[in-house]
Amino acid sequence: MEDLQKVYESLKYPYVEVRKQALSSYEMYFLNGKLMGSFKFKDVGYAARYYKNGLLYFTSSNNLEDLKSNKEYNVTGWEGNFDNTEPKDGKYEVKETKPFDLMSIDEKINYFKSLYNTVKEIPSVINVSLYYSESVEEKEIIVNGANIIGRVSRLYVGINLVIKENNRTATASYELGGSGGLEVLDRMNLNEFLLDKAKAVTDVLAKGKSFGERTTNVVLSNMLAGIMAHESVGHPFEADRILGREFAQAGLSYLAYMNNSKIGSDVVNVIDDPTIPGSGGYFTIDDEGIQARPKYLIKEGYVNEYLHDRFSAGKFNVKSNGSARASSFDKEPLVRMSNTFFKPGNMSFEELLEDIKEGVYIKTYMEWNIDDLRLGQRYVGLEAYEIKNGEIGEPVLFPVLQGKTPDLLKAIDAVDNTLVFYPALCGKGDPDQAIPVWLGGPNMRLRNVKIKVMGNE
Amino acid sequence: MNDEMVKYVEQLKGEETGLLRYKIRRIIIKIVDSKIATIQRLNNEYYFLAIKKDNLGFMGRLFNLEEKPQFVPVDYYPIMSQNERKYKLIRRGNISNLFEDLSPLLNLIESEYPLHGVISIDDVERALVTSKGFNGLENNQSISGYFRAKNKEYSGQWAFSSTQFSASLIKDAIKKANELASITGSYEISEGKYDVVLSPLVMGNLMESLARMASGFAIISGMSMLKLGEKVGSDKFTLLDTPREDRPNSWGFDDEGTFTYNKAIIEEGMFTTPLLNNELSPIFKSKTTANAGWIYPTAWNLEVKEGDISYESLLSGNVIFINNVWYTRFQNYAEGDFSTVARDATVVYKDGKPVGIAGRVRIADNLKRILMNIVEISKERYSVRWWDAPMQGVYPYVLVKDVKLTIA
Repeated sequence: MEDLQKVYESLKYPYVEVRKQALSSYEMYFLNGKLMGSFKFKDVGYAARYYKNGLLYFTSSNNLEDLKSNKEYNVTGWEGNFDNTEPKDGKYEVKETKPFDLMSIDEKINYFKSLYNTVKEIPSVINVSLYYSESVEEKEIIVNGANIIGRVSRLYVGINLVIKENNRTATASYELGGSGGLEVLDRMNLNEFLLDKAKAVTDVLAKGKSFGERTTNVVLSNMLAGIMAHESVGHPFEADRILGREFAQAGLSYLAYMNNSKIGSDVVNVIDDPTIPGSGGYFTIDDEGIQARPKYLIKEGYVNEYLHDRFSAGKFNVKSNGSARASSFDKEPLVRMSNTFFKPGNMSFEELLEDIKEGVYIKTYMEWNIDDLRLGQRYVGLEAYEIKNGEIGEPVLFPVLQGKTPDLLKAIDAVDNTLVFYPALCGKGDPDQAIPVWLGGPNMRLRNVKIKVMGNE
Repeated sequence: MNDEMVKYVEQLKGEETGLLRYKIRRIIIKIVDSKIATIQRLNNEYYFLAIKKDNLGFMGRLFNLEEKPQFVPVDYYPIMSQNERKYKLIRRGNISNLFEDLSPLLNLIESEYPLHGVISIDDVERALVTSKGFNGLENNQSISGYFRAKNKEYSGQWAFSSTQFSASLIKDAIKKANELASITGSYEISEGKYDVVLSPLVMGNLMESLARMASGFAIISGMSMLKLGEKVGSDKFTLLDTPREDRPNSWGFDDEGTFTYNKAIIEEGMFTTPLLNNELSPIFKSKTTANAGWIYPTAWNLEVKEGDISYESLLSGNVIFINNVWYTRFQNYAEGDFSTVARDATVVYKDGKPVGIAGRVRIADNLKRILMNIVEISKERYSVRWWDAPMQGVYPYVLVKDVKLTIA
């Protein structure tokens, strides 16, 4: 860190942060059992950020010397006070239990090629795309004199299936992964996973019937709970977004306008926790030198805590809760989610279903989006099934769930005792910063929500 | 020219070798509530290497030329063009001055309503040396930005992009964002089909998705609704890839050493040209279109041909004007079913007069159907690039009939 220290010492400002960040990865892309491309990626560089007169000056370069000079301007800055909590020296690390090189590149190629054989005989399977990535992210940071070192290895698999059956086509995408080494791959059971998904989607296309448009009971799976936790709760709880710092990009938050802090039913608890071992969004000290901790964003249905970095915390006159992260050396740290999830309850999945006479279980989705206040959202189900008299029944063809965040969160009357996480790359900022996160939750039961029919909404 | 790169490529003795170098200078200015939140200077330099030797290959990003490739067995690999030419084009416009002093630009940020946005200034130098004898060096300087003006619960957004800096670029975009934000009053609409005028920003977002589906690789992967020779749009709709215009991200050669050229991807509604590189061209029984991208060809920058009527006359009937969209997501690339969420000034026009803002509606339709239902295209066009449409493009306003809109 000696090289960073010299740069740090040359910058005399109330807040200074100097960072070296390296990302090394190896990626492979397979189409129908053929290796279409493998890519070795290495990105190393330095960044310095400092605060002066309401402005954050940020410089980044491969060359450390470039950080020592910057032209300053006499303009009105938007940033205000910042949380000056003293940073502490610290270190965090995710080690690979099974190192990546325990399996040679050739063995990995053969393994992923062989996965195609699992589903290629299924007539409905048109295309199978597989993406594999192993990476190591390393950070050395000096914040106001404290030294922080971080190292996280991650493994990720993306799957894309194109399936045609009964004159209907579907594209189905899945993501698996977390921090660690090859043990993450071992846990995926990809043969079984691929076969299960190819058969399930084929079944929906072959037998799926419209549920019709009606107000009904809906059970959202762990996967749907995850996307809702991330998009409808996590993003709008980013304090910089509430303040308008992202207004021209991904927009504002409903929390900028909301007066009522009761946003969901009593069973709704949403947590962002970067300290979960093995998680995609793992860290224990953030990029501004603040100790990371679990944050209850929503507690028993009430708005409880926003995600903060030092600068948003200063504007709200609170302490940062350690949510600042940068995706690479040439990006400014921003308020980011880590692992965001609905807290599970005590009920089993069977108990969740047992008093539903009629409803829909949405297990996976193929399309979702949300407006720029994070209010109006839409999910189009892919693997979806009728619920009849407490039992999962026949496939339902592409049910559409649309609704406003508080309405949906208040409609949740029960959650089961499972907790499943899914990896994702969360985007934010300009230049865009894709950052690894987990999102997840239990299966959740929603009462009296409207299901529409795709194409007829 | 590129002597170190030439030496590196020669030493590797590959059957197919391409070595690309990027040297990037970038300034980002972020505006929040009409004030500056951050000024960022980003410098980066790196290499991309693609090599095939016997039945082994390597593709990767290198930090410097001390690094050597680590070969693995490959089924598919980038093929360099037989092109032994040298090519050099270094442009030095007035954007260079902004890297020395931003004051002339910062002084222009004035707005009636609170203004939010980002201005990006880019100077990208790109060099390519191939084992087939190509040696090229070129740069592209650009300035682009977008502004979102906030008038209480209403807002308007506009964008610009250019290879030259001028005060009018900034002032006009801020003015347009303010004009759109000044349209107020809520007007509720019900879900259904409407005649809709899509702004150049909306076109930028949708055309980028369309251009991605025009990539030969998207087509062979089943991730495209486009089929060669099929009618996918109205006769009035022509989409071009324009790397030979004086525009941001215009380049003289592609990543395989083929000289670029302008081309219609969709001509008068017909899908005529899948975007190809050398490795995909045999699959399509066609020549490369100079859109490499190793493995995955992409458009350089886009243009939709202008129509012959004015923007005002597009609004003369009962239409809904959509200023901007975001979060475009396809549920089915093979069919083109998608939805996207409108934001900013979604203005309801009755008999040619604005009667209010419809709020955050969602287009939930099929992209092919939207292109087929294009009725009129304006003669006015704008060069835009923004956060949710990052590919440079020149787009008109477009009137589309019977677009499905949903609420929430």
